[in-house]
Amino acid sequence: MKYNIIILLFWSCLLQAQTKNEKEERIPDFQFPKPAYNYFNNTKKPLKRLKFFKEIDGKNKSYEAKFKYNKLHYSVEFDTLGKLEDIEIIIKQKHIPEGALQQITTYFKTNFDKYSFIKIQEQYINKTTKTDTDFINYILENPIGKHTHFEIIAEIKSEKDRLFKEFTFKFTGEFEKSRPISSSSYEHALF
Amino acid sequence: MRYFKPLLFLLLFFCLSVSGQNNLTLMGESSISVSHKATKNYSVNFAARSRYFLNPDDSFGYKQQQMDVYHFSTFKLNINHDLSLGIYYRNRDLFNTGSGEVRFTQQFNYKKQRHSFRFGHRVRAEQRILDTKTIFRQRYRFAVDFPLNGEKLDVGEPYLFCALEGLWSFSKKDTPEFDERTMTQIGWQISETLKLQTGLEYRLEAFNVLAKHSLYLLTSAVLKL
Repeated sequence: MKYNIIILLFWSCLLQAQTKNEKEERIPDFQFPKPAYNYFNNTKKPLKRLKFFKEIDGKNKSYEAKFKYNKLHYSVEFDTLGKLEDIEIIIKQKHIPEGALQQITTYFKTNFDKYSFIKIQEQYINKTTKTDTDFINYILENPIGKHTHFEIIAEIKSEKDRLFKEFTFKFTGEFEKSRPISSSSYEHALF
Repeated sequence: MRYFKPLLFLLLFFCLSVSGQNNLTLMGESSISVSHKATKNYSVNFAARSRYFLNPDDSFGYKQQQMDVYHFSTFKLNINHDLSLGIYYRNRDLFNTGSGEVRFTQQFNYKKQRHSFRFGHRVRAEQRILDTKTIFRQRYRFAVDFPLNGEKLDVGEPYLFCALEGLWSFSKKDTPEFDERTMTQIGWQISETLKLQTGLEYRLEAFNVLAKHSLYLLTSAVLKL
């Protein structure tokens, strides 16, 4: 019995080495890319609960700042050089414009037996000629209607399985892409 | 690790506030559980648990109280709802600490994910078959678990798991009894398949009759194959 446990533990350590390393980790201010860090000092109103994170997704590395501004939860992502990748704001389902919501729900209804939304975000990608810092301030001051995509994390059920997936939709509600994401198991809390 | 200090303070505070009670029993409970998802909707869980006194004879020490083994079959009803049936065997004869029991459990669990927080409601009915009587026990537990680093629990990261539970026991022989349990555990996702947890549970037993207080030091390994 004793040896079995040791073998099990050893085996799970081996498995750990094989899994894809996708990780979000909180970091101190000074580890955040310098140019991007400075963007958050000259906003009109101070940012609430500003936190910095490093994200590793396979081989890709990026940095993320999360904060609250005008009662909205923001997450702003940069590459390793401090270039803006996107801005995301957490919203509720009722905040999705009716036309887009209809397209999105039609997509879920036709592709899955069941679904439930876990997290909905509006995504803003800088397609304008504005510099990153101008774009961030432009969105912070009035984000309404400027989003380019919706990002939805949903738990879905299809014939094969149940899983969590991250979906990206265009602002019109048209499906763009999706990828599975891992969710932590609940066995530790069930019994 | 930034959460380590506040957590330590909380735990200390918890210990101090509890040790203020008289007749406090200090207990330890260690378990290992293995679960396996057999099909899309069905999973099995086997666990072994050991419980021991940490202050026998009113001084710090160790004395084994019992060994438990149990099995749970869980049926996934839909995304958030689970129905589980369990069978449980407890042995106290080996350690001369009383009589053992066989227990049947039916439980229903509902969980809801809100951003990084996961809330769980668990309702349980138990039939505890002892040598001299059968106790019917109903339980409700509210639990929250969330990662301590970022929004998602990744390998190598810690998480916190807290729960509040109310219990109501009755049998033909005894007056109905109410218990309350408060639990806080910190855990680590060591690998994709292994979680390690440790924490404290405070149990207030039979507070409507003659209250008994006990504090449990919990340690567990949770394997998913």
